[in-house]
Amino acid sequence: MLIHLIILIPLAGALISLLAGKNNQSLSKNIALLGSLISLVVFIYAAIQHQAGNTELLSLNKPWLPEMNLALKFSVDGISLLLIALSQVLIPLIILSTSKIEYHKSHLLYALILVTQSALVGVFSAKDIFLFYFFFEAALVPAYFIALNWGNKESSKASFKMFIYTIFGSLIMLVALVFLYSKGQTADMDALISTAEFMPSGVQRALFWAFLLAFAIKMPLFPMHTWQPDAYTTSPTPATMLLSGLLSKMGVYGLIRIALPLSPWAAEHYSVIVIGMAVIGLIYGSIIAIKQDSIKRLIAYSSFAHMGLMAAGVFSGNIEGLQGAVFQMLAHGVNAVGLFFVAKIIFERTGSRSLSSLGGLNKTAPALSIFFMIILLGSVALPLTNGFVGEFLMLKGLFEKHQLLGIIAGLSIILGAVYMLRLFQKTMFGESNELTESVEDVSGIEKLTLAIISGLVILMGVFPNVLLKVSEPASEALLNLLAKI
Amino acid sequence: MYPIISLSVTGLLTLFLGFSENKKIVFPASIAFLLIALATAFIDWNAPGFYFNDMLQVNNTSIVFWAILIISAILIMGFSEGFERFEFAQPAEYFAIVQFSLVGAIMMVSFKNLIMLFLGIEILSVAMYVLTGADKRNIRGNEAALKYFLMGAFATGILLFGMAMFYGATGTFNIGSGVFIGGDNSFFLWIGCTFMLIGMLFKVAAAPFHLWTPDVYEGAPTIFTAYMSTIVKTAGFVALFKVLSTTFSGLQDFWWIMIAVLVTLSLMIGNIGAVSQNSFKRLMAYSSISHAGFMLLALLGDHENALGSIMFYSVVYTLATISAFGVLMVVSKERIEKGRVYEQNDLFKGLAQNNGFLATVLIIAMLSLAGIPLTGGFWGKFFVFRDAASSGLFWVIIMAVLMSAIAIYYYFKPVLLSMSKKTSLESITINPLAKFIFAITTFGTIVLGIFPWILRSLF
Amino acid sequence: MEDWMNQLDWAWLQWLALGIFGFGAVGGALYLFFTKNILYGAYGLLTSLISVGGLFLMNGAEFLAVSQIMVYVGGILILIMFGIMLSAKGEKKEDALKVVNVNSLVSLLFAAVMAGGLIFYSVKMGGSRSLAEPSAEQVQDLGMSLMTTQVLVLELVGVLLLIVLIGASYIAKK
Repeated sequence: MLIHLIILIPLAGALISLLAGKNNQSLSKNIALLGSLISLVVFIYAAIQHQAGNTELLSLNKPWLPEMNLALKFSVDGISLLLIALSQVLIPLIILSTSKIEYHKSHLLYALILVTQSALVGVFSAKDIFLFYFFFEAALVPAYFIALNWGNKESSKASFKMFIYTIFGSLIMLVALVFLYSKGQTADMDALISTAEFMPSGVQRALFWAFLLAFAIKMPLFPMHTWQPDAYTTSPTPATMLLSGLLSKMGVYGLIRIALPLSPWAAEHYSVIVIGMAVIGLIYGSIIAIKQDSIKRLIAYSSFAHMGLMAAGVFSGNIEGLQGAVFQMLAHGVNAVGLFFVAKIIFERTGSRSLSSLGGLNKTAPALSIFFMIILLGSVALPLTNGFVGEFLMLKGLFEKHQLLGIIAGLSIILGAVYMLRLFQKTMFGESNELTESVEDVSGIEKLTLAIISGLVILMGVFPNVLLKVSEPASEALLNLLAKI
Repeated sequence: MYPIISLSVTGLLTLFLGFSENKKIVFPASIAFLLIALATAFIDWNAPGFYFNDMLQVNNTSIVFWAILIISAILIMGFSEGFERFEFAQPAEYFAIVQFSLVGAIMMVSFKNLIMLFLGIEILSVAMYVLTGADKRNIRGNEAALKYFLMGAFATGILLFGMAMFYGATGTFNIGSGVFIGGDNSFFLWIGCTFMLIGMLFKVAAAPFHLWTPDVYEGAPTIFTAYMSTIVKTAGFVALFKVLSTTFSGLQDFWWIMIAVLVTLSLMIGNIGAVSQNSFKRLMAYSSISHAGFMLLALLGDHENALGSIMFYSVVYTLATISAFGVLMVVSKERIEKGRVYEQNDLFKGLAQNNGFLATVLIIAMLSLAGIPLTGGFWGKFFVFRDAASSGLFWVIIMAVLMSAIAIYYYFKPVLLSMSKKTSLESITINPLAKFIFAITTFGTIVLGIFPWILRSLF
Repeated sequence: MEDWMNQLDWAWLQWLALGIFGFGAVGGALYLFFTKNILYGAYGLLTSLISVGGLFLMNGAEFLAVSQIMVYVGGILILIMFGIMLSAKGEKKEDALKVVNVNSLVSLLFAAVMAGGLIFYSVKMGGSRSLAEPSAEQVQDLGMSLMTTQVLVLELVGVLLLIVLIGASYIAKK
């Protein structure tokens, strides 16, 4: 019975930070950090116990709206566990990454970040469809307000576009959920899943597209991605990190947890179409990324491309693809936060995000360039980094499902190497100019943060089995369910 | 039952207080009177019964609604502190009318006889006509009052005609006895049902009987706009529910399609109309039309849940509306342009910089009206969707969802403006009472967003 | 024989009066509808209202008839007349307030449909409903029930009128 603590501790942290940390950035930051770390520690304890077989710790079942049969029902399986772990690890890192700049009303910023954390844990562990929906939406609101309040004028437009898009998708999903609920008279996910296969195919088609729309917008998946580059580029970095590192994962998680099991026949029926869309997005995003001049925009498109591959992996319908997608979610979360952090550091030091005006940073900031290299290699899927395992598994799974699409998707590794190495070359190598001459290297907390992220990149790459084993039973269970159709 | 007596008596007392030299006493006394009425409401708790030859029906449900109405009135009246400064204000008359109008609202939620319904609607409406024109120097206010009066009087005529037809067909005004289609009287019954519904839908501003709404909302003093959009709406919907679920329940096949069409119309006209509004009050007027559409949605479901959904929806809508209009009142108090209070959306520009508290209140109110999770508004919408889903009306729900997406666009206009970096506002002072009311409404919105069963479990 | 004569006279008179009042009610309303002069319109309305009062009287509803004439003819119509006289200050006849009908086609159509329905159904129901024999002490009964069973109605009408009074004085006050 620790799951509600893991949700409530960040909320409590948010409240304390809001009340105590007024007009004092370091205090509010420390409170927030402490809150998220306590939550992390509790989670680690519970996760270890969970793996040892004590699954009671991470589940809860209390009535929520008894007359309507809604329950506060949480429980986790391997996939949920990994994603909660991701959010628990990334939130402290995001908080750490904000330490250099002064934010006005910082207590509010940290409170909002912590609220996002709570909501994410809720999304990844909810077992009641409306509880899931509730957290799914609730995670967006604080992220949106971070983008709105600490961004510039452009970001308020871009993030508003994002908000409208995602809410629209979610509302469509809500109709589907209400429909399921009114048919089944229960909101319990497991109960609904067990009856999903008996749903007539026409209904499943409609449900599937409603779900897919919501999650495709959230991820984002081609062609629902138009909000993403602008939102990622213009938002303040904490918001970008939240969006790319964590919120986009809710979309993939939703596909795994809702779309596949609740409309299994349609998911299988339409899988090639979805994979096709995903692969188009993957190639399209990679090609556009090559042409970008702004660092942030480049990372945004690369992120979009990676999300496409994950969707393809999920729909490949075999264990390699699914496991690869789960692993890649973790890897991409870490890498995206790392890359955006580096972009932020470069922008803070030089005042520029433009590749054409940068260069030569490896001379003035050697430590930064080493960390950047590691994270970047993770992102281009070099063996022994975290990106490799996921991409390899997904491509293998995809190849088994559909050879042609698998081969096309394989191209993305080459394209990814092209744009990422171009990014590195244009920033780190070459002649220094007046912008980059006097840049000081990373130090202190920044160095610590980057070291943690780089460590994660390498550790996950060297010992992927530790994580893959956690999610394997859950993935197999899902595939067994789908195989019944 | 007791609040009717209490409010009628204290209304008279308030009038007498107006003769006293010290006008300041009227405001605290009126609040105290309202609190007394609230307390007397609970005398009948757990003692259901009928009063005055089946004229009124009292049970716990109606007591909950009395409490909602009286508390809403108290919260809104709280903003009128300091009204004595205004030259146009006649505090005694105005507070007396408010108390009498509550008598009407209370009758509308507990009537058992159509005469009581008619009198309730009339008492509330006449009070609203007067209050709309309360600011006599404001030419727009006068125009609004006249428009409201003329159209309202017409609607009353239609309502009365419907009731007469109903009486002709059934021989009774009592709503306890169900009626059924068939036989010689069906034509009169149809006419009666249609005309009564038209008269009542006019009062709750459902399209296509909404034409008065934007002008009246804009012209009326903001405090009465708030009163109109909360209390009249809550009472009106309960009255609609009572009529439809008791005496017209046998005619469901007949009015069902009419309500479904009205839901669609209200949602479309309300939401699409709101998009292009620059005046905050007009925006809220169109939003009120669209909320009428959402609440009508609940009437399409099965009747067991509908009342709970209506109750929840009206509470969250009331809380959010009071917040929104309250912020407007506080912010616009000092801004007079061209002899009128400035009430455009860009009044809120830079509010977050200027006064974080008010900005937070406004944002949470807007989020709740837009139906974003973590606020009560989400559950309000969820419950009515659920009700409509139980009768299989998915095309209406999909329409409502599309309109909710549009609604986010216009509800976020004030939010985005308030987050803007530039501001033309001078420093704003909030009096403690207003601050207290804001705290209640905002806190209530959030609490209901997380623990909706607090209200749902009432019945 | 004499009985029969009496009966015949009575029925004949009744039909005549009904015809006159009915013609007056409909004719007055139609005249009001089509006239362009507001003063003549008011006379049309007067005819119509008095005729309706007469119809009430013929159906044994004396109280309604009296209040119809008192309220509408004695009160409202006089107000309308005053209004016309005070506002129409023109020297010539043409300057008097002009009346314009809007949507006359729609409203006529609507009225026709309503009237058709009413006539159709009242003919159809014909003798199926027997009217209660009007009591001789109708007004007294009404008063009694207003003070006993319907007392709440009376009280609340009082509240309504009080609001109207307050409102009127509130608006009229400077």
